[in-house]
Amino acid sequence: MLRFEGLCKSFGSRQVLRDAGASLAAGAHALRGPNGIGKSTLLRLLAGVEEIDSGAVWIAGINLHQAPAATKARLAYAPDECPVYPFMTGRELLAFVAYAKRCAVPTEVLTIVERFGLARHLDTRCGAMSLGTQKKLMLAAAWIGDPAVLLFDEPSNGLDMDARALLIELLREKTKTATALVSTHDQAFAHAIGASVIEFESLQEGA
Amino acid sequence: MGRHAPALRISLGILLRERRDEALAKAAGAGAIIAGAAGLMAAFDHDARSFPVALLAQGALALQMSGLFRGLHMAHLAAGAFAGALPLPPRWWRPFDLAAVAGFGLPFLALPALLAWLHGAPPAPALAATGAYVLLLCCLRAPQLFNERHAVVLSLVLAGAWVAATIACIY
Repeated sequence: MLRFEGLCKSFGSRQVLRDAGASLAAGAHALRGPNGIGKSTLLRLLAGVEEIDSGAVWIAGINLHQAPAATKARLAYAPDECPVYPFMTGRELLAFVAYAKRCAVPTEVLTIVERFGLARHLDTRCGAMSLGTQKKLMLAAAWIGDPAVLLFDEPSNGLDMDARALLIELLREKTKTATALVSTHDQAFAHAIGASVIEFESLQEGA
Repeated sequence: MGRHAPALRISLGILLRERRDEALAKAAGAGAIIAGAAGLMAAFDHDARSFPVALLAQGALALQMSGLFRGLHMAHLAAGAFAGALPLPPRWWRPFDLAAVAGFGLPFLALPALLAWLHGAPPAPALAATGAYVLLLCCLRAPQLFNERHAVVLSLVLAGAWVAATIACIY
């Protein structure tokens, strides 16, 4: 479902990714490595947020470079921070993601919103939400459009215990049919979602 | 526009919620330009010189309003780390920013021509000039975003040429 080959990325003279590759089937995969090694950069490249220097990414068999819109329609990306328009309310954010994915906000997402305790924050501006609330909103939005691949950067950061447990439950269910690549330092979380651990360094050999 | 309402709401949200102070400052500046033009037209006793004054004021208004494009563009870039992963065309916000700024600027752009028309200018040129200046406002997005250092000069050159061409077309 998620495949990438020969990914290279440099920032100036610093090469972050060198010929990275992997092929990930449905299930949960936890990306592990020390801070600053390039895990978030890799997720941004796979999500199409950042330009790739060279290499290729396929999401559900579609090439990201050749058909970016079709590819992005099949993926969900939740960055570690919440870089959304600060004036947007939670409701507007969900509507915007649904607009981009050409669908309505599904009932499943409204249920997730309810279970995360976000219903009372839906009319709050994102800029006025706590980090944990922003995170929950981004994660709930990830379920819009029935994505085949989920890319989550430190998803358990800032979540309370109930939200963390719910995210684990949601990911365990979703990864029966979808691929989740999760960057995390939280080993208990990775274990709880049944993730296979991928050492970042091992990707560089194109494993 | 129905399906695109969430995207248009973002451009309007940046303009009227995130950057409200800038929009209010632009509105106040536009009010001053219109007041100045109205004063000059009255000083000319609404004779044949009044309509060119209105045309010049409209050019100044379009130039002044075009500064709003920069703030909108920066806000979209700041949200790119999330919105960039959504299945949207590159620079998807362009038509919505144009619609938001043109919609915001239209009442101000129309006022000098309306004043001229109320004091005897023919309606067709007044309407045509307003349309031309809304188009100028949209065209000014390009020089405003082309290069930070040269944005003012490039915008000034385009607006000046547009005003000259509009006056030449009407007279």
